[in-house]
Amino acid sequence: MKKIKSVFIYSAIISAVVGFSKCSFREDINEVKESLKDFTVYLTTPNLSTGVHLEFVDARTNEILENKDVKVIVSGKDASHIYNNIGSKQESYTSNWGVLDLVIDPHKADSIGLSTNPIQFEVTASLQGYVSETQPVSIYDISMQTIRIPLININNPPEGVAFTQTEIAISTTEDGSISDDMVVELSGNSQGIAQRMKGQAASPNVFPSLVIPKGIKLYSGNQPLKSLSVTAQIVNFPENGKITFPDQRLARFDHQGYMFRFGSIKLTIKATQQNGQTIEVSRTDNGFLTLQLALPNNYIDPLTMMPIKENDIIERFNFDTFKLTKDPVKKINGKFVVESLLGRYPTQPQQYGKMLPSCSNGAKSSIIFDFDVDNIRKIGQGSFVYQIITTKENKIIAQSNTSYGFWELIESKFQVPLTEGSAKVVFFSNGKLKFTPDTLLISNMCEDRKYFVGVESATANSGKNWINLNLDISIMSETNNNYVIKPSIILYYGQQSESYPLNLKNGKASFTILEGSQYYIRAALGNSRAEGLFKIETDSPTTYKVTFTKQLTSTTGNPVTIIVPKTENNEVTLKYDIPVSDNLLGSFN
Amino acid sequence: MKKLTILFFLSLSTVALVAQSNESNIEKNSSAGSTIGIAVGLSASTNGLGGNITAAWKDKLALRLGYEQLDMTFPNAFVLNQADFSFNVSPGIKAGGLSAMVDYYLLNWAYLSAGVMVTDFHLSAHIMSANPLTIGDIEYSPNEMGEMNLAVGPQNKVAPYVGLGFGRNISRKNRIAVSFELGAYHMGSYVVDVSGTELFEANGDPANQESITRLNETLQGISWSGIYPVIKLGLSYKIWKN
Repeated sequence: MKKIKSVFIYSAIISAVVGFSKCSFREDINEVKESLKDFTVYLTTPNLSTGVHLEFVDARTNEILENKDVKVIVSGKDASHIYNNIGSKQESYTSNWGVLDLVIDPHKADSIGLSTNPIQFEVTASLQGYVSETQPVSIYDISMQTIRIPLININNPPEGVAFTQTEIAISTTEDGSISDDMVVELSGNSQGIAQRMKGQAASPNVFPSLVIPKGIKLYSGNQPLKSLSVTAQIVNFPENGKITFPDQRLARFDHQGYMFRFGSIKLTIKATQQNGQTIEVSRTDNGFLTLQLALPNNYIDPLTMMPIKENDIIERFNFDTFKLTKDPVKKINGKFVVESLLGRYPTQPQQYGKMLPSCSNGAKSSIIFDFDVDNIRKIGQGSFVYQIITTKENKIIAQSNTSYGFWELIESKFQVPLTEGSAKVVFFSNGKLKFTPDTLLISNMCEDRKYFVGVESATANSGKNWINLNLDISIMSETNNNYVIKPSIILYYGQQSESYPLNLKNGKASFTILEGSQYYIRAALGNSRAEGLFKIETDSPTTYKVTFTKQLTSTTGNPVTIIVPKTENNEVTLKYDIPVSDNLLGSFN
Repeated sequence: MKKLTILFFLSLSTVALVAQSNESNIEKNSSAGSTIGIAVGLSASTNGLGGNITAAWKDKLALRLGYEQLDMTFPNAFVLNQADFSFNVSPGIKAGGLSAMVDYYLLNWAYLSAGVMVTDFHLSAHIMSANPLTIGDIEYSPNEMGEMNLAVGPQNKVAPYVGLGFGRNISRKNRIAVSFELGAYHMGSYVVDVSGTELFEANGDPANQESITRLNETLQGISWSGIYPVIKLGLSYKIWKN
């Protein structure tokens, strides 16, 4: 009986506890449900940060070609791995603000794989009124490589570039085959009208001729032709051995090495049909054209700095076949002539010079920059430039400037050609940083060796107020706040003509700006761009005033001003939420 | 359902009481119990399987040190459909830990238990996309997209415990004893945490956890949040007495 009573007591206790808990349980669950209503899931975009940042500049003025539609076509061995920076593949890309970011498929962005088997492709940039330019690109490591592509304005070319044009009557058969052997001279002595275009050429005495054999067909088209207009763009071929354009004289071609280019010829051939229609000839059939390049007798080979002579060999890289050809120097009618048999696509560029062997296993020498990041942040040193002068046999064969934001810079492999030669590396910044040493002499770039360079502030107390700006960007649906996209993308910021890359990761990035100065910040999103102008000024002893003006393509928004508190670390954090339509968000899927 | 649960508990209590009645009868017919005894035991509870060692003094008071562990995962247990996306959800539960209890025997076959546990309590759910995702023209596999992890843990790792037991954790006169115990740990509150990898990585950023912070504040205001119920069956063997 006593046991039963005890069981009853304990059962009553348990029932009371369970029953009591029931009182608030339902309300509590509702409260939790309510909290979960605004639960937010954050999604980031894939970090497509390995590729190439192309900057298109006017070859004469070196200014970015803004507000012009530069069309870019990607071709070559690894072109299938190349996308724009939102992961979209197109037949051609358009840059309307002078830059374009192309990235490689992240599945191929493997640092070990890239170092031994780089991604290689060519970009061809074309713009109305400018000469199309093809640039080979090699990606060796996980980074965004900046390549500046100078485009030549036909009506305002830079030093060292000339155009010559000849129009000539021709006769063809009914199917468009050339009836007789003929030579199109672009020297002014041809049977047609030769016209020297603008441009203070370094090669006033270099003239090409085009040998057209009987029976050849000039495509596109099967119609009888009545005249040809041939234009040759001549770059360099300096008589004094001093190359003036372009700055970078070495270009990597496939796996063959680097070419020291001292001249190039690019032909444009237009044919007028009997029916009056003009077509652009892109290829030939049933034969090949021959390009004869007459050089002056006092011509100096820029590589050897010796006068050219008969039977010298000049190497030519043909963008048609992507092969290196050795052209002999002949003496014809008392002049030295380089004779080049062209391929099926004769209007592709022909680069003349000498191929230099590259390091057999990719880039070896590397520079490690050692600096106090915090110290440099405090004083706001944004970036620096290092110039690499590559020499071989005591002759300068390449010169390039490379600019880095210090945020990314811990270790940098050379972005310039590494040949079996020596290099002189000169470091400099805009008076803000001091390098120790400021010059490196590297006797053998193929040697697997690290060079350490210390970086410190040259102006520790500049008297200017540098503010650490933290960006926090979110993209969200206009209707549903439960999903937020935190983008990972390369942004660019700077003042006026400056441009520093900024790695926005998961919507966040930090960089340093000068109080009171206006900066731009830009993002290339596929073929379009987003841009904003911002300035941070002192509002009161304890607050900053931040002014931001949104700029989208062809529209400028009204300035937005916010007041933020000054912090001990002199940091300003800006959260920027970008509402977008559900349709746009859906397009990612 | 609740009635059935209560009935189940009462039934178990009854089983334990009946089990102990035999020992009580034996005890009545024998001399007084030992002064000090030590027993080792096995347990199965909502904290998992474990073992313990119990030292009793004068049959009234006992110190019990134990360790229990429950660690179960259920890979791809169910699919969660959200808008146009499907996610594989893999829940997991981890419980148990090291405990130190004092048992006070109200009766020969019933005791109150109090102590602390260093709890390993952890509920989790790994959420991965069930399908590849194409962004632009690039396809990402579920592994490349990473996963989102939801976790529920204790606010306090050291959690106090009270319980009511039937039977004994150390027999008074025999070698073997059985027990049934009902109780609960209080871990302060449940704490929800969210993290992620790859495309879900930003969920782990404290700056993006406002909604999680609000949820945790709500949980802290709920009386039963942080309570972990314990139902335990024990079997012990007395190895030494004096």
